[in-house]
Amino acid sequence: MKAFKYSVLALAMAGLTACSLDGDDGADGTDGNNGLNSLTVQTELATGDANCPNSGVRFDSGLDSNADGALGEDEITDTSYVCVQANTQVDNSELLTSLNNDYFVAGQAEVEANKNVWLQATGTSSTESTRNLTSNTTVTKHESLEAAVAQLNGKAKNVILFVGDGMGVSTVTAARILEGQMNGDSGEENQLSFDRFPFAGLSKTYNVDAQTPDSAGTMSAMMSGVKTDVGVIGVSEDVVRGDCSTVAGTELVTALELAELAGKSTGIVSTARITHATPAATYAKSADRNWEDDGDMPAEAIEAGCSDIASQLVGFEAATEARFGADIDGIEVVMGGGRRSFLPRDEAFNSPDAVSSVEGDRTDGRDLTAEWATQYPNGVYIYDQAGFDGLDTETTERVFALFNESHMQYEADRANDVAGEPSIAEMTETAINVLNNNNDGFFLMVESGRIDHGHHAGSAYNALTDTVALAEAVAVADELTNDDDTLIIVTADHGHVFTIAGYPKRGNPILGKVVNVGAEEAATAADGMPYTTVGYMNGNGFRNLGAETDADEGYNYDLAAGRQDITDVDTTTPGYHQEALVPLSSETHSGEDVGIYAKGPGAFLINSTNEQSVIFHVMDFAADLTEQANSAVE
Amino acid sequence: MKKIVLTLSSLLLSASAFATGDSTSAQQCDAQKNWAHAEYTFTEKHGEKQSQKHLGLWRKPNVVAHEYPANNITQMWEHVHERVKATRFFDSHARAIEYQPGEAIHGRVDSDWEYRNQLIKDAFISQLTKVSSRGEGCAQEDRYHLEKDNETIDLVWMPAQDLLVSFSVKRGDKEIRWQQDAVNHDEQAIKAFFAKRSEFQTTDFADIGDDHTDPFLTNMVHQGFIEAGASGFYDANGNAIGEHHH
Repeated sequence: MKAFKYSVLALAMAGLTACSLDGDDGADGTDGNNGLNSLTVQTELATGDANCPNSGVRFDSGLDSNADGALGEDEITDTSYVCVQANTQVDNSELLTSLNNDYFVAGQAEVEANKNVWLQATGTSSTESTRNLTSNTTVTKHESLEAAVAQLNGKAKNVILFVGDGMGVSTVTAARILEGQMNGDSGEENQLSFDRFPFAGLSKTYNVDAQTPDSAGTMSAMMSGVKTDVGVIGVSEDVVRGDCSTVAGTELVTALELAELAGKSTGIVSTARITHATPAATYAKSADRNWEDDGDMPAEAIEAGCSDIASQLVGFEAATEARFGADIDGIEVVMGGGRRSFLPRDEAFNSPDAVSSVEGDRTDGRDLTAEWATQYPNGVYIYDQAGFDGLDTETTERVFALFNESHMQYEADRANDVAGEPSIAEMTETAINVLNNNNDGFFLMVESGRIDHGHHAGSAYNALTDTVALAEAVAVADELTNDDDTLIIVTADHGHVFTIAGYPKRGNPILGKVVNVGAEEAATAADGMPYTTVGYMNGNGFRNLGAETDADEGYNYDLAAGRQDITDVDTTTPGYHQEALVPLSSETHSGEDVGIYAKGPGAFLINSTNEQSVIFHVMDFAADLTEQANSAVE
Repeated sequence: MKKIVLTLSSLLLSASAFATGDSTSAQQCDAQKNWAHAEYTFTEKHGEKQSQKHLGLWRKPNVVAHEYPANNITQMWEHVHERVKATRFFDSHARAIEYQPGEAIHGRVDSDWEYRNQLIKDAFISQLTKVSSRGEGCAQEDRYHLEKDNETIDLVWMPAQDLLVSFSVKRGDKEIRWQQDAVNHDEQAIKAFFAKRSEFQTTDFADIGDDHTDPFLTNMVHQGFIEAGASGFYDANGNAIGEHHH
């Protein structure tokens, strides 16, 4: 019975557990809103992408909150990148486009050549001793290199300094292109003679009192190693320009004087007046560059005892001997223009090829050419091409040549000279052939003085052709001398505001109008007018592309037929500042650095950016001028 | 017989006298031609409008000058070795700019001596028709006339002295006229005119850019360029400050 009871209980209990304790399900609630779609966008990245330089894929993901089925910029919540691995090695075969390129090959060769030039110049045979010095950013002493450099002291028997007046870097570039184009090439790849020199540096040209300098202060710095003021010749900044009484005690010593004292022969050649600032700075001391003859000097200066530059040239030997208490033989070669400062203002003294009715400018009645001839009976005074051609450089002891009343002709105009003039290359050749008769060597200064004038007159053609002529003179000098014993430096005293601009295509005529890459016709500016590649940065600039200015409302009739106004002067506009009255001229010098190009013993010392006065010190070191002069004087 | 000889000799004498007279007058003409000072008025008319300019022509041997009194400028040309050498005198400044033969002034090269010396070229005169002539020797005056292309040209010219007396060109209501107002051959005065100017301080045209400190010359040079609004002075933050006066 008991079992049954239990089983009934069990059954009852089982029955109870079979019933759920939950209640019945309730009804369903309303559906919630749909969730947002998650979107991922893949974007391929090309090579060169900032995030995947070697290409890859960008993954942008986010929620499509505006449910438009696209992932908008503002919906992106995550960005990640999967990039293609960059190469860690490159095969030569992948570089073939570079390796086979002419410029690449030439560049490699040039670097190799430069390395050898450097080794040779410094007298070292391995790169070890020079490596630290050349890759350091500060100069530190290195014994082996110092010893090598010390050996170069005095190794230059001869020094030739070429100065292109106003020959800034843009002038050199344009002249290089012009020379190349004159030879039938596109021009840019050409090299002027001194472009091929192994060493180049930069020269800071400012004067002590001027940010943009002039020829006087700059040449004084180059010749004497001392920077000085604008407009003064061979004297220091302590002088007051134009005040004779301040000259005494400020006189500097020039490399030419030292060379004379050292027993070398000396020469000065210029296409400008020989009394003009650049040549004057080699031999004269003056409170003002304008005092070329006594007629240019104020009475007070003459009374105070100052000499004009022309008379200082003729009196150089005596004055230098008195100053140093030594015996010198005077400047052996003098060639240039500026005859009028050596002759009295009297037409009886006119040279046969004078173009003025009264040639001379001197008011003291002195004929300095005659004085020179008296002083140097073995010397030859010449004034034209015939005289120049008649010189025998092996037997001529001394020559004084004044080829023109004022400046010599531009190279492009030489054929127009009355009695003919030699070129700067011809003068350089003759000068060297006379000077090299001295076994102790020589110092020669050659100035191409009219590059500056061409620029001043806005004539790029004259400036550039004179530069090309200078490069020819440098080539001649290079040929006539040895790299072992002759230091040649080519530089400028200052630059000019001359520019090469626009976007002319390769090979475009440098003096022509700009023709753009891919075009055949000249490009036009905003005013519809074509423009030249080269120009001058000052002021208005001057367009003269052949357009005639129209006859004005008046009726100016050319009495000789044609349409020219007989009156050049516009008499309705008073004063001289009007364009019609002003000799349209002269953009200014520029203040930027100019190049120094050098070859020969010690040439590498012009490396880097230098104060212009350092040029003297390089010449002095290479030729040991000061030491040699000192021992000769003692 | 005596009578004939006398007559013959007197004829000879008067003949030679006549000949001497001619060469004397030729020399006189040269002197007048080479030493001259003529004043001209140049008038331009266009309908009712009229303007006038004055020009002084000064000559000494191989040198001619055009003086513009209204501007105090004298332009001089020298003729040596077939070259024409120009000098421009700024009379009120006592300064001069000297050009070399072949040097361009405003893009023009002066190479025509005759044009500057005479104001009119012989080649032009020969295109005109000589209408009449009066006077003789140095004082001879020739009249010329030409009508061509609606233009009427009249010229009075002194051939022995190479001097223009008057010149006019008319076309429609336009007219230009050169008229000589006065002329003299006073050598002393002419010498003084040129001597005064030869005392001026001269500067070669090529050298104008050399002297940065000479205000007369620096006014002739295009100097720099101004960037609008830049005083050249800046504060520590690089902001341009206005005009800075020392």
